[in-house]
Amino acid sequence: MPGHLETLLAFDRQYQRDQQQSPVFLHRRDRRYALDSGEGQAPDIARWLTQLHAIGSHTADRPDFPEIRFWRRFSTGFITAGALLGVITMSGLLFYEGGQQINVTVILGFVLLQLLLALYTAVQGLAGWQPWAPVIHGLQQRLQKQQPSPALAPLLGPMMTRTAQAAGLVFGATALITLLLSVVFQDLAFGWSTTLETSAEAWHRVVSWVALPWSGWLPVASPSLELAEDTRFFRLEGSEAGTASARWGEWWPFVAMTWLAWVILPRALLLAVATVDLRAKGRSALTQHPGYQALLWRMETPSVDTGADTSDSGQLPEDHRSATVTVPHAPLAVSWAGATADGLLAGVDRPLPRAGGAQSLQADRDTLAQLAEQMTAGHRQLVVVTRSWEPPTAELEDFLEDAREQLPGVTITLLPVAGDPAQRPNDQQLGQWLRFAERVGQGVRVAVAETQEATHGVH
Amino acid sequence: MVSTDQTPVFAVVGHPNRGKSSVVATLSQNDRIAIALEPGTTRESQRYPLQVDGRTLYTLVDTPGFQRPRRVLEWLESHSLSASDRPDTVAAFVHQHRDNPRFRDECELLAPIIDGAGIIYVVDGSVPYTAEQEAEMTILRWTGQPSLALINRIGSDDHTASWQSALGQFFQIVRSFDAVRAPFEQHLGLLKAFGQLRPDWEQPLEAATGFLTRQREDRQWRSAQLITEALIGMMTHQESRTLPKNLATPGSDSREALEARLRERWYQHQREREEKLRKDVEALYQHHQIARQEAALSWHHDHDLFSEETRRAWAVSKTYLATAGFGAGAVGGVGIDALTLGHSLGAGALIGGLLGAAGSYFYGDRLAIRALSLGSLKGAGDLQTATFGPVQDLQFGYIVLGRAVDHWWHISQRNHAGRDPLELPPSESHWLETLGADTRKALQRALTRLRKNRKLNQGEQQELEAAVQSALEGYNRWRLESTA
Repeated sequence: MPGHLETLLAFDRQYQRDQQQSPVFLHRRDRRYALDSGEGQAPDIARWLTQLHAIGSHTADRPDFPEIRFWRRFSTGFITAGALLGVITMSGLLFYEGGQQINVTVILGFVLLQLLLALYTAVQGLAGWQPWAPVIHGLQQRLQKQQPSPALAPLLGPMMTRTAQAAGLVFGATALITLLLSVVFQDLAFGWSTTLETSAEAWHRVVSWVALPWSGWLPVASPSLELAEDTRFFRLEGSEAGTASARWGEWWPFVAMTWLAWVILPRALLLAVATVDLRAKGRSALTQHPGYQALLWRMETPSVDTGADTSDSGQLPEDHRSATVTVPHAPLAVSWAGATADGLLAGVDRPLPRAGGAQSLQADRDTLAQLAEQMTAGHRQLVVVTRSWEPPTAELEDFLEDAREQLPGVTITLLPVAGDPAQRPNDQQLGQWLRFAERVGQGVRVAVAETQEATHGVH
Repeated sequence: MVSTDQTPVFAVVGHPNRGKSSVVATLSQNDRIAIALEPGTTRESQRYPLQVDGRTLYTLVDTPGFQRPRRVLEWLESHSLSASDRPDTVAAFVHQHRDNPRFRDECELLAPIIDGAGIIYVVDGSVPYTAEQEAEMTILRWTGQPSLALINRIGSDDHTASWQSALGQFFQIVRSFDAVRAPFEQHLGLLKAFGQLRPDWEQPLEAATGFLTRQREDRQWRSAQLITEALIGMMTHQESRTLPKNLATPGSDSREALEARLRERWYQHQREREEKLRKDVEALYQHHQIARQEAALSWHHDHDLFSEETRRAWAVSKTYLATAGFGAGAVGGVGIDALTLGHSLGAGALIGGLLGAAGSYFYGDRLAIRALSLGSLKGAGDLQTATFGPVQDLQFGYIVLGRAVDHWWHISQRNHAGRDPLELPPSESHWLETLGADTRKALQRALTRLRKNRKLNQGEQQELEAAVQSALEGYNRWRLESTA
């Protein structure tokens, strides 16, 4: 199960990849996932990513994130440094004055400083201050040779806080271990001293407040007023004379408990707070991610496919076509599907016989028989007048075939006529007739009447 | 004969070139369907299912046109004894002639009908009614399937009335539908009419129209997001280049050349980003084949993004800017009043408003771009960065927005049967002034922030998206009112 940071980075990576995909595909993919998961279920991004990953590759390996690697290395380094510093600091506190007593006041001051630092780190993390961000960015760029993912930007503060609190905790722990080892292996002499004019009673009150959390159940770690009076020392006067040497060592349980209660425990608590905060901000960063709302929308919205991606036969007409001819003089003529050719056929003055359209097939056959009777040796031209805007159909093709059988040796010319017979049919309409003539073959031609040509010339 | 499958299927049939494919293209939102194919070359039926989450709600079948209706009718009449056997006779015709190339088209178009498809018979209402198509209509009536006739006007003449009375004798329902120009509401109305053909088709068609309506709403919302993203990107875009420190000293030729180069790249980027927005919106509405006649992306073209004419058409008046600026500034000023718990007696809002109005008035004057600025590159002592942009002009935002909204409107209103180039002439009026005060303020506020090169947080971006969404609705209203 990947952590929330890995989930966020994996989501961001998937989001970047999805930018290249078509929205229709993304919608279909994510809606499919939502339907498979069950309607009304809150989307589990980690599962969604796992499914995408499982479908997208043959291995179930978890993806590698350089940002996470960097943070692991950085945190390990920081925590190790904290551990070393803990040993060094405690050693310094215990031994900085050589043969003199160890001043408990100094240790208390240091504990207070640690407490303040821990609180400052927590406040900084919660408030989102990032004064150290340029250092981290610089380090990251130097080590990874690439820009860190912008998806992690809102988490940089909480991540740094958690790392700092963890390092602080380890610092406190190694310092305490150093103290306990020193107690065992060394003869430590604690005392207290201050430049301020204060009485042992006042100082004892301060110490009692510090020891309040454990004074009830661990009296040995709660110094008495006598111990405070007995172990005060002054730098410039020998004070050892009136004090039993054993008393100098009685302070160590108090020092150890102070360190545990006021350095280690606050750090542990604040580390827990930082971890919870990082988790919450990680979840929030995911829901605030620009791709998240879009993903939710894709999962919730039914994918409607209207068939827009289905392409049809794509059989577009070819562009090349033959040229038109002039209308033959005094031909045999027939009106196809109600077309009229008023004044367009020279030498034809009677009404044209009809074929096609609403007529029966038998009527077409009768028309052809009538034309066969009219055909003479000198009249072997048949003009079929059609409506230019009507598409030529297979019925016309059948009629032409029948005409060739009934009128042997006849030359067939199609004459497409526009709605206004005086107008030349437009090129698009004429084109379909030329292509039809080419498909039919057998010498079928397409004519444009002279008056039509003239009109075309004027226009 | 009747299909056991409950999913309605509608066979779109008719005489060749009567707009069958136009109807299918519009209803299936598919602009890849080749319209006005050569009659006789479309030999196979093509199915266009409407699927919601993989579940088919209905299927449209685009069929080849009738080629030999009289021969088919002759065969049917010679093989039928009474009206009761007509549907079986049609089925027998299809089985008999399935492999006959002469009747391939008829078999293709009749096959889905004898399998239970409803009939959508398409005629061209711009040509006069003649009895020539009665053979086709008779064959369709013989199938006994529920049928609807659709008068689709391809040309400019109107013979709808004569068609209506003739078709009424053959078909249960007769509707007029202009596949190229019918608004979306009519598409839904037509689909609902399909549902009335059989009682058990009503529910899936009703569901389909519901999904299509929601899809349209979603598309508008997504368009607003796309426009917002483009607007933010274009308002804040900056061109930058890294170069040696001594290369761009003030007043030198190299500096001017650098500025000119960066300026040109900046302009180019803006044009490309706008073009990408166009394509994204078109893809969202499934328009893949649009020939757009907006403007060539050339310098100072009449309709180009940066031309004076474009500015005159899409920019807003200075009074508008000042008014909207006052509103947006006042909203900020209210914060001062809130901080003083009202002790400033509204003076904060007034001062904020005046500052906003003055700023908008001043900055809305000319196309100002933050010109070349040079800065040192961190960590590289002998290098520096030269940047050009972002734009300082509020009007630029309004121009981008106006053009984007106008393009969206044309695309959202365009039917997929349309094959004419999309023309986007500049608008004459200031449509923005018809928007609500809140929308105008939100737009002004966001554009002012972007002009100052400040990033919008998520809430502000959502507010801008909502304002753009309102702008889309307002523009649509304004267009409908101005064309009414």
